[in-house]
Amino acid sequence: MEVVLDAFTQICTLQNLFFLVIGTAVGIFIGAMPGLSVNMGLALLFPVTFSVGGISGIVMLLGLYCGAIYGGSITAILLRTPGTPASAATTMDGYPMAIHNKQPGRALAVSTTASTFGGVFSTVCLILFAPLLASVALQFSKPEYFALAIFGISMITSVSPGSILKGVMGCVVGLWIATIGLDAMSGMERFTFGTLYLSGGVSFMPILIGMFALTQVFINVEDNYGKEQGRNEIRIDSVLPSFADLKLTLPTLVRSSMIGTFIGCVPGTGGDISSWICYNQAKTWAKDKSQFGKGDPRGIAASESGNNSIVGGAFIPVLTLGIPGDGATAIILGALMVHGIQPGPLLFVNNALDVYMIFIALMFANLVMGAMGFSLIKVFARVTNVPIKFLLPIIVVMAIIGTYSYNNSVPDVFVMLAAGFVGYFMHKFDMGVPGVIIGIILGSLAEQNFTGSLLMSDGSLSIFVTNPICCVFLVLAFVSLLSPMYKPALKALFK
Amino acid sequence: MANLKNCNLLVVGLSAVTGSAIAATAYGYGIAMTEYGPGPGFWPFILGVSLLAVAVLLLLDTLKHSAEYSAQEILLSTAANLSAYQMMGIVLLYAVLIFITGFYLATALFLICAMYRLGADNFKQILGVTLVFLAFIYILFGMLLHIALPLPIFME
Repeated sequence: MEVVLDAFTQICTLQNLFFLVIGTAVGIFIGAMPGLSVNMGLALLFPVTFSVGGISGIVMLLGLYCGAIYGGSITAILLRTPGTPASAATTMDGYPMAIHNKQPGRALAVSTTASTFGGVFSTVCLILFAPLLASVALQFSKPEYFALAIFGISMITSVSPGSILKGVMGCVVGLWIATIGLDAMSGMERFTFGTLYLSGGVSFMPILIGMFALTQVFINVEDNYGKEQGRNEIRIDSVLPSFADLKLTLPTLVRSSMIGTFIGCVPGTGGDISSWICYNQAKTWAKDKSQFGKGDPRGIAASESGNNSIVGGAFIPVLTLGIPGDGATAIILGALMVHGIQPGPLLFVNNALDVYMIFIALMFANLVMGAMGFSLIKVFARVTNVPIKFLLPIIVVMAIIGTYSYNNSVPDVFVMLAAGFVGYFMHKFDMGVPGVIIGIILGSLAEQNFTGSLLMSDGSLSIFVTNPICCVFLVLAFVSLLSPMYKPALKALFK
Repeated sequence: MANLKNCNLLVVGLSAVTGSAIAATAYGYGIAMTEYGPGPGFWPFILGVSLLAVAVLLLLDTLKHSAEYSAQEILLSTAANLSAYQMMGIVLLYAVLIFITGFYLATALFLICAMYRLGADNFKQILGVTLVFLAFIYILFGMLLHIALPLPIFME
């Protein structure tokens, strides 16, 4: 207890709090800008930690990490332009609530609440269960990763707004796009047509930006054709979520935070996978699913608590085992080591004070993120008051800059445009774009672990059914995938 | 006039062709199990066949609900559609122009044209928004993040 109090007093200095606020604000901004990634922000602020010195630099990075994951939801809700891949699922209900239902304040309030809840929940889990969760996550080998990917893919039945068959088609195309480039096992080039650009694989970000942001621009141009464009005057009376929304979303918040924390523990996964899985679970568990996709607060809560709760989860393998799960935690791990903190099993014994300082800093980072989010909701929501004749061209430019700056790649810009054009016609033909995005996100995870599993088992598929964790995930995936076929029969039976 | 049935048949056709092409190409990469694991074409072959299978399912579904889908109209050639296609053309032109005239000039031209096309008619407002936004981009990406945005081809 003495160590905890000591850590608390060391974190609660003016300097630390100042850098925490700066880090969080930069993080929210970076997260909100399509194409600027969490990793880029961390890499840019990493050198600053040397001049700041001590724990303040680490605190700033933690603030940025939390803020950036939350920031992605702002543009996802207001512009249908996810700032980060982790907030793509937030567009499903966030955008309809903000724009079609004209409730941007409500959407942002639910999203901020969910992000803060998810972040705090996962930090509490980190404090209480770090060693236990790390040992479970270590049980994951190739078959379990493959089963997790299939479980993720099975959610297309929930997120396909039109025909489920067309959603599945989109997902298969997305999975195929993920195979373009060098094969990880053999090093053979696949579907590259001899081009250098494709040999590196198709980058995910241009397709995400094109299919969400650019497609929405074209849809808006069509929808507003010939309409008198007045200035929208949406007033926001309260920046806090209503009691009814809190009551409605609470079970979703808890469930999604638990799922997100667990997914965060598993190296190689992340907020993008977590948010889609949580969205699917929220829809599966909801009694009344009719409002999903039309602005249901549970959809926003699931996605946002799901992606923010990976933060605490991601720190579990970092602190207990010294294993970073993704690029962002790898940079923070590097920063910890540069500042003399050596993560690993002995960290809790040798540097208990440092561990508790990180825990408390992470908790504060989430709370500061929430406070900043709530206080800026009125500012963010003003975006919806900008007439579309000015807003749409600006979104196009932001989409192009975001795509270009991601890899400094000219072909990426044209891939983004192509994705935008295709996305528009997919919308027309009643094909949902989330299927394609899910396919691309989970494609390499599924393939590498599928082929790796078969290598482990000398080509026997029995490896997927003899392993309990794998088996559970696969059964859940098939139950979810086949749900459109048996659910009407079940409903009729119980009526 | 397009309807959902015809659109579905188009999607079925495209998917069948794409699925077959993926499966055939993947087969060429090798799908047999070796001591190093499945061949590089194994996974894409499964995907190609799956796409083909889903195309068949969609075809059966479309034929089963033929009357229902025929009644659902898909608007593709109205004036509103044409305005979206025009915007696509402007955006494509803008992307090409970026790599000829450089980012800032192309963006200024695009913003002015697109805003005007979308109904903005106050040129002072258009110019003001364009200049403020370009200044924001320059400060953020050029000065703070040091991201080199495309230069005109004669300056490269």
